[in-house]
Amino acid sequence: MPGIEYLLSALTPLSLAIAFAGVLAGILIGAMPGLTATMAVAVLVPFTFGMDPGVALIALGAIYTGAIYGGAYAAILLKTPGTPSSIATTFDGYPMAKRGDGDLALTIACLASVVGGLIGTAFLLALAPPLAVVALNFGPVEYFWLAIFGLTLIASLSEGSLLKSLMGGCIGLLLSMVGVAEVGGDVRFTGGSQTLLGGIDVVSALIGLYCVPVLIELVASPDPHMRLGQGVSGFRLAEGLRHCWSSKFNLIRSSVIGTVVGILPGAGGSIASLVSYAEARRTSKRQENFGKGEPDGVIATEAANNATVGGGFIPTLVLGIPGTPPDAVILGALLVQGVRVGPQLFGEQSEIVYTFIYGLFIATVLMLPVGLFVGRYAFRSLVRIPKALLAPSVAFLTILGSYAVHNNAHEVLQMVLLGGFAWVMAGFGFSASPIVLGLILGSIAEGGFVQGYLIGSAKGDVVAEFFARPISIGIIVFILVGLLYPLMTSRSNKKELSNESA
Amino acid sequence: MNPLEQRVVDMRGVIASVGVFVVGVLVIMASSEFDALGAVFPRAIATLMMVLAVCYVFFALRRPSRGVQIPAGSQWRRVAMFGVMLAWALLLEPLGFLATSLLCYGAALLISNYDRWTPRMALLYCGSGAVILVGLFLLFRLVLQVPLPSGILI
Repeated sequence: MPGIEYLLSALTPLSLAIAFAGVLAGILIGAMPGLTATMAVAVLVPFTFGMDPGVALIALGAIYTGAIYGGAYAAILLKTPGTPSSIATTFDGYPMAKRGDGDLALTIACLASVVGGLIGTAFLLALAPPLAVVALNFGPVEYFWLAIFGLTLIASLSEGSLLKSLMGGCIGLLLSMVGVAEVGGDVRFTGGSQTLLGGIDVVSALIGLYCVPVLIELVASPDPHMRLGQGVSGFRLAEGLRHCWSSKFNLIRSSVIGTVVGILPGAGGSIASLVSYAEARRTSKRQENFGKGEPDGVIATEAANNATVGGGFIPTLVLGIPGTPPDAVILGALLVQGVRVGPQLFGEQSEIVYTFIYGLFIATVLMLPVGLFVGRYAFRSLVRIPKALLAPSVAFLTILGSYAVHNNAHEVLQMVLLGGFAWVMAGFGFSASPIVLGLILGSIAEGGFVQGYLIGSAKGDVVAEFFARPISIGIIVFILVGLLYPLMTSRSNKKELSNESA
Repeated sequence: MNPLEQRVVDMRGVIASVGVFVVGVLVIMASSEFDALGAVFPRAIATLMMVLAVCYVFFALRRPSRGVQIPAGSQWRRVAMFGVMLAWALLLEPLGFLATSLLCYGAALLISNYDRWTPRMALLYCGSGAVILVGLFLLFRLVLQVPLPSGILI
């Protein structure tokens, strides 16, 4: 275990000030729809070039963790995920805000993010080298099953009709196939448009699918857009702590899921939060409340997405393979700083790496006061701002955010058209969440399936490739349990009810 | 269930399902131009879509449901807001980011406001809007170095 001297070197006034500023900057950038954690890190990387490597790493880690948490603000208050990692936070966070519990949702999100971040960082500190080796055992087939596991969440997201949700998921999967195919290079479903060759950008699509229908409905009536609960001060710490304590298993389980998914290269916070949400719902005694403003849903997603920060650094620092997209940017910054990542980093340059890990701990702890403070004012301002000002301002942010992803006006048009599509589909009883799930997980599922099929064909046993690998079997078991457990519990409940009535 | 709750055939759902089925057919037809590896996933998904659409129509006709609730409110404002968003996206490059944003922000402001306009309110709303737009424009263009489109205006 690394010594106390590294903790002390992370506790210098400069390191603390940098961590504080990084968390604040990350939260503010992450809170704006369309500005992802990757963008927050990328935009602020140049500021770290003149810093000492250890301090630079603390700054980048603080920005990253702050931005992941910042995504929860827009998700809870505007139903627009500030970053893709906070998609699942919209499921219960926004209904909570609508019924006047937005401040509670923000407090819970902050507490869960801090706990998730601390657990992810603890894994990074204690188990980085052995866990990185586990990540290397994930092949295309395991990614395929992981994506299917995420897609099973559609069943739990169905608002009304399960069949409509499944159709929505299929529409999302089709949208994920637009552009040049990852394997084979076919140009698919572009309608001859050059601008669609690169596919549909996920961030712009998220903004459109979630935010545009909300904007359209926002202007349709003069009713207030959000209610302020009775005697509410902006954050509800005691109540939030009680919720987190009563959901401690959910909190820890979601943090561990977030860490493990964060370790998998390319998986990221969106998948981590979706998987942990599905698990939280599956194991909850209040399954019927999920999607309607259940605090456990917010706890699960926010703990998981912040745990991916520590988890993602494990393969980044140990193997030089970025676990999440922001890790790739940070990896580049490390190389510029002259830090050589790899197993030797923990020996030859242990001072830098352990100072960074302790710095990440400190930044995560700082997120609590900073997050609660920002949340208090964000919520109160948003509730009090007149609707006539809010709607155009949010519309402007969606335009700006979707443009700034790749500096591309075509993606703004994609965002608006997909938003119009989601609004029309809502009129037919289709919700946006299954479409988003299909869009995000489609390319992972297809890439994993096709590559697994090719590997299986080369080995002469496709079935064994998909169904006989130990990690795959584990994930398949989780999928089956996830699908069958709710059916079994609802049957046994019905049986009990009929026995009682008899 | 409330016995007074009226159960009807979800015709909107049936129409949408027919649309989904047609999309499935079109995807299968389009996938004939792809190579085997590129076609397998679209075909599988399209087939699943078609099966789900048929199932939905079957169940919707057999078992009437509560149907889709149409939200109350002003339909023209909804359509106008979407029109403004569309115009915003289309005019960004020809007119320029700031000019388009000022124009469309103003239009969205008119659509969103239900109160009677007073000189004080107009000044407050337009002033706040201008500060937000120009402030974020300068932040992105000058500080974050995002090349926002200039167009023929700015």
